[in-house]
Amino acid sequence: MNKTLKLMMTSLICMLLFTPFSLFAQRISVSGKVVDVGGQPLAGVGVIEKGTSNGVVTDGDGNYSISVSSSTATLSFSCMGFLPVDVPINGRSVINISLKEDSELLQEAVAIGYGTVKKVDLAGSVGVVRDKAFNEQPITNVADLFQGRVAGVTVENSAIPGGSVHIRVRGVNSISKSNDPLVVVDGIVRESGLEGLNPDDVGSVQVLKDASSTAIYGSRGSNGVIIITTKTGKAGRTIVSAEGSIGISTMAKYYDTVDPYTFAINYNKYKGKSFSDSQLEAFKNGTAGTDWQKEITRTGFVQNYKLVISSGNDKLQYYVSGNYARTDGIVIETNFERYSFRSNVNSKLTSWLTATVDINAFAGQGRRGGFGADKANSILAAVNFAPVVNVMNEDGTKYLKDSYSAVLTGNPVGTLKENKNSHEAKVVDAHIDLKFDILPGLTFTTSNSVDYGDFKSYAFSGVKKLMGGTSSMSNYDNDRLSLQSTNNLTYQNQWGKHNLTATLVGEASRATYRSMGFNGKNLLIEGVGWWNVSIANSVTPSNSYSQWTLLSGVGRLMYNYDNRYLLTGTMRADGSSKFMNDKWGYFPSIAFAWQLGNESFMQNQNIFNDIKIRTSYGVVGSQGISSYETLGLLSPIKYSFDSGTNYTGYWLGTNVSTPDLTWEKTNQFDIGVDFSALDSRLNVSLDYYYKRTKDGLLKKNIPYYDGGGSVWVNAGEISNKGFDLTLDGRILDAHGFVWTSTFSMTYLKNRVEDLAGLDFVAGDCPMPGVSPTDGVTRIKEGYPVGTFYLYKWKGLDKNGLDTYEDIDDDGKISANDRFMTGQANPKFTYGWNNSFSWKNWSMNMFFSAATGGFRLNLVRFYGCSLIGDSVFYNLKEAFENTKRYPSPGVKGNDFQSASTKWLEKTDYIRCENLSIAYNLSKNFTKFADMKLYFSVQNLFTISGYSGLDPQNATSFGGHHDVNDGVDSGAYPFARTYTFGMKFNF
Amino acid sequence: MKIKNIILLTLASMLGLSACSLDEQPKGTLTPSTFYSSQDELNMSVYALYKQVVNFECNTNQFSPMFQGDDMTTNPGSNKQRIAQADAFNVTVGNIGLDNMWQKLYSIIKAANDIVLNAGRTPVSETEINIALGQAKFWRAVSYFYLVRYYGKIPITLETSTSTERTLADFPEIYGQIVSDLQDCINTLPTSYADQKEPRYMNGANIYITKQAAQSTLVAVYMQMAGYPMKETKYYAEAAKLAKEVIDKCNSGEYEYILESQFKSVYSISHNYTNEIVVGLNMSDKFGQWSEDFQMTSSNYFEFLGGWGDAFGEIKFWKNYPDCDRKNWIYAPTILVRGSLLEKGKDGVDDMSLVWYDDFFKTKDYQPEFCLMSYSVDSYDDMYSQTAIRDFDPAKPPYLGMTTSMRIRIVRYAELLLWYAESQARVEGTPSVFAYECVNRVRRRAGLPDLPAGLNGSEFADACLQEHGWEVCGYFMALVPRRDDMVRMELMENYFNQRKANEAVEVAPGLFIKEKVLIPDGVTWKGDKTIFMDYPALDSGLNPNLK
Repeated sequence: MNKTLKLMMTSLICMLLFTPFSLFAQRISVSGKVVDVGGQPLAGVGVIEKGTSNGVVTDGDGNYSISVSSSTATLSFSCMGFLPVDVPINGRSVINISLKEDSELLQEAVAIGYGTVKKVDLAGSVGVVRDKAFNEQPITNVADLFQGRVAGVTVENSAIPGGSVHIRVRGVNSISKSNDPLVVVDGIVRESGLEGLNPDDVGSVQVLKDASSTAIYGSRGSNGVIIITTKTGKAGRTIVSAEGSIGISTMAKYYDTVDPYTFAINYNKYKGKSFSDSQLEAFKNGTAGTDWQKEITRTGFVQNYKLVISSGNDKLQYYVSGNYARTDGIVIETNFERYSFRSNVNSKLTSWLTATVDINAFAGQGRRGGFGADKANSILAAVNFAPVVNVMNEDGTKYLKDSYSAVLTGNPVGTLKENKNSHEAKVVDAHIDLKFDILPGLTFTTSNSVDYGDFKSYAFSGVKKLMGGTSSMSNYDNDRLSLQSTNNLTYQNQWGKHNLTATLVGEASRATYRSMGFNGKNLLIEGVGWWNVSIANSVTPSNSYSQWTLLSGVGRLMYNYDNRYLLTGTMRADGSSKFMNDKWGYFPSIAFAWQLGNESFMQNQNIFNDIKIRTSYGVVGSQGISSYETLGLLSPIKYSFDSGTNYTGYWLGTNVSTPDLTWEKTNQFDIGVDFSALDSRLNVSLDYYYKRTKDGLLKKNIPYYDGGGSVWVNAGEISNKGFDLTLDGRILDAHGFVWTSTFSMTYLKNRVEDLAGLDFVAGDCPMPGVSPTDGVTRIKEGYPVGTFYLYKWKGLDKNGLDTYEDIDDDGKISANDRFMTGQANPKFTYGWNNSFSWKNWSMNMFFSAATGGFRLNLVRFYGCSLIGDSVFYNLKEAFENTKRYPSPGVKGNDFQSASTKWLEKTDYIRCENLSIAYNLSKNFTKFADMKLYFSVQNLFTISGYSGLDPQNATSFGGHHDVNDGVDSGAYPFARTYTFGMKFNF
Repeated sequence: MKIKNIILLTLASMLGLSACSLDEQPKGTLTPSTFYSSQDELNMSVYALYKQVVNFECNTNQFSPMFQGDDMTTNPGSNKQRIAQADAFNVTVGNIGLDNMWQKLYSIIKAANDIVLNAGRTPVSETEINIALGQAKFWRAVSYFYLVRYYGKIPITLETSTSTERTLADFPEIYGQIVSDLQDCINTLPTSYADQKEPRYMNGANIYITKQAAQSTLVAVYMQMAGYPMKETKYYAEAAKLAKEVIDKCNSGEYEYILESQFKSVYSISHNYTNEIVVGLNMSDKFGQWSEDFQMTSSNYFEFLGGWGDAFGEIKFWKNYPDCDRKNWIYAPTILVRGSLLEKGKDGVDDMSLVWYDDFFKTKDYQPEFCLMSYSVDSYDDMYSQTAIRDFDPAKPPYLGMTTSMRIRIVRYAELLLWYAESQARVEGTPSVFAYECVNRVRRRAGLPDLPAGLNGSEFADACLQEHGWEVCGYFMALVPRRDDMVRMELMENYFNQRKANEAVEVAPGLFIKEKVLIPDGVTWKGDKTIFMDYPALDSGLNPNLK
């Protein structure tokens, strides 16, 4: 099935590529030159015969030539940053025109949740990314759009093909619960987040940051809201475009592991003679030994094909797109493949009714290696596996074990190859919107959506080729059905200088989750993989069900006086099924903005073109607990007593009933200023914000002596304060050379203000058996979430042993000698996006940077420590740097993972993207506008961090942030070279 | 048009907002308030309790402090540092073995507390309620008995609620709680489940706790109360009296306990349901690994031979262990080494059986190897095959799969005989004929001569103490391992100093070997503080009373 579809897509694209479109006969020719107001020629201006798909682009001198169907046709001229112009031909054969600059698109509509507002009228703080900001680079994941492009938004990508992404808007609010922002696509909350969205379908992205903007989403808005408006068909404009790109990716960095010869001679020296002279010789001349990092990685391959067709007239517009993308990851046996399809039809059925039908479907399938925070992590295993061990035995029947260093770890290559898995997702989300124009200014819109997702995962572990272990297989099938009905009554009117928009919304959402699965152990025949559970000796089945419901009422008033004073007030009431006694939460907000630039006294100055001052205050909430968590349900557990029956028992487990648990609330204050200066060539937006979360949903540790685990409480106060700054400028615009640049910067200070009498909340233990059971991070008053709690390493003593500071001065190193140090999340993050264009060339360079964050590098700890799981050193530095590392023969040394010895700064600057594109007009190619591009992602990273990547997220700790900052082997962040072609027919 | 609009509008609104209730209706789950409504639910609570006990007993980590006994040591390197720390009296905070021990024992207590508090409301017979209560109280008592011996003063939790204010109870209070629970068990539990279904009775053995199992356990508790740290020697009398009662009833056939005729059967899989087991716990590898299977099967093999090297024999204890049949089933008399290991890469070299102190082992594991948890297979091809498991045979290849269904022998009848003999002598000052008979039954089975007649009370009692050490040597899951005999009789300090001095032991003429796990220079004997472990950092962090 997949193959057929792929074949169809490929043939379609090929067809489109190689069919010359010589359909235009009997035509007349028009040519001319396009310049800006200053008379400079404008390159890359689209010249389109209005109402058709016929169009060309101006060359480097601003010249164009187009053949049109009749002398009465109209030409549309459009170019980024300029106001579009329509010019009737009226029989002329030469038309020269000048385009006026668009004063930063202030008239552009911005989606703000349950409505849109002109950017100029916006009172709250909303970050906007338009497609022009990213269409110069190959983007396969919508989340990549945010990184460095919106001040106040940080993105961490797991880098696993098809893996998860971690987005934070203005920091971490919640200690124990999800800090993922809400994703709303075309008005519908998307349970799948950004997964499966085709980046090409994204028209614009708005990130709601302050309370005035997010309060409209009340209960779910506290982590910020990402609003995505997808592309739709436009009346009178037909677009047929196809794009294909292929790329290869390579490892950007390796750990510097020791060579087999050095390993062997040291092993002989310190552990007793184990390698003969002939073996040593073989290691020396390279005929024996293994570079495990090379063995588990490869050159990755990335493919991406897209097709968009859109068209329409005044009554009916449609947009259809298809996308096939495949990533063969740089770690062996990892890949991800996605098909997606979207169709949007918009129709004005009658003068008073408009209907929109939108269907988005995707199917994704991938295979992931082991990148969890455990000892089986592939990177960790590869770094620690002794280089003297071969991958397989001589006859290739068994993967060899390591009896020198990683004595308890499975063969990294064997583990990746023999533990097969497949993660499959199929999601269809669709909505129908009916918009009634009831009276002038009064509209009623009802949006009803269904979002169905089916998620399957399969796994199989064979043991035939691995030594020891148990063979196993599993099948899991989860589905999700979410329904949302939003009914929106909006009234807008203007009386003289007064402008009012009132919105009233009733909304109901419900999501139901079901799961079914089983795993089987000890397979009698391994060849059946995961497809025959009856082959398994023992089978454990499981199933589950859960559901939540949310009822909401929303009201909003937006008042604008004379385009000078803007006032917005919102109120939302939310009832959540997740809470027991206290279900309803109320979330008000108010915002005020002053369009200073429109005041008469500002008209006589020429420094600022526009200036607006904004301030807002509001409350948003979070209900981020799971269904039924307040009920304290009994936990099932099985025990067979050595009989043939696996008896089921029930006990309290660590669940605790919490009937009075309620909404987490975040109060947020924001003050900001937007202005443009220097003839609108520089646009600046600056915000200061202060967020304070109260009644924070906090998982309070229960002492082990009461059974351990943790209990939800509404305690905890966290504050986030900081600045968001965006500078947007047209730096150079002369002789056809244009350089535009956007710089964004975020400063974020996170602080735990109050823990309701608790001394601390301990993070999870990242490496059981290696790091302390109460974790390496701690939440404590006065420190940011994700602060490390470590021993202070003092260096080696005279005997060459690691020593640690005895902080409590009791003469021995004990639990109380740890201290709070270093935060996981960076304090400053920066993004700098540059676009250059000259004649037919365009170039994009995008840099990101961050400072002030730390990582605890446990991979390095393993490679440089002599512990049970890693009996001998593996990193070169451990053998060479005798000032830092004890001798390989050391006895009685305390190799402590939870120490500052392994804590490193992650300050970095990275060239995220460099792309160069060349545009060829239809005149030249005879069939389509064509763009050829080449780009490099992750061109370089400058950082002092010793791990593979300073920014890459370790897949540990789920969606909450207590456990951030531990590097126990994340999927390597590749350097990718992409070549692509795009055609606009 | 407008009317149509309004109708549509209303319809659309109703579509969305109708009939959405905010009440949660979980499916397929159970809530505490409605639990204990039937016999099945009562059974389920007991199964869950047993599973908590299994979690404690199923692997080595939580038994790290037992390695402080003079019988056991471990690999100084490898991944055995948590055990090595305990063995060297140098436990650092965060030692997962100690944290696990505490955590898993208190999990048993939590499961037991819920039963003790709520089982009574189940609408079933009093007998059934008593069986459930008895299981709960027994395992709660055993858990506190472990906690008080390894952590000293501890918080007593008898509820299921939580508090960070709990205070440390002192020894009489803790032991009082243990004794009271066990006495309740003795008063209410049946002496046999033979007429009942599995899992209460299986393969001719009582699986649920009986009256006599509780009695025997109480004997061990009384003896600890008589020694360090409470030193209430009067409890030796209680111990002797209770032990005698059980032994008499065994002799009269009322209780089922026996002494296996050969020591080789004691730990063998072929005698898995032997009635020498007084308190046992069933383990199973039938339903997947790592949850309820006996995970120590290859624990004691040398690591380079494919085992885990968890527990090694201490050289001096091995040296002093009298040569007898029993010794050969506790320590591997010889170790089979594959030819391919003897000369690397050379095929056709014959396998060899070597004694542990052979030079070959010098650069590897150079300690007496325990065999009491080990099994053999007929050929090297079967080393990971569960179906090929045989009782241990030093001449055959080892079974290297980690798990089996070996029952845990928490208390054995041989121990009860020795406890009686020792207590009787300590309380009466002269060993009785019956006491001699008890200890000599154990010695004869071990292949040793009877104790010499005419020993005075303390000589006899010490001989019984030593005998118990030999009997449970290396078996760290025993309710009373060697370490606790040493603590009770205050032998620990002396041993600590010896171990620190680490004098080489002559294992064969002219061959002197030292222990490898060393007590670091800075570690000195600190009495209570050395004997009792630190509380886990999480608990002492949450509750300052535990500092």
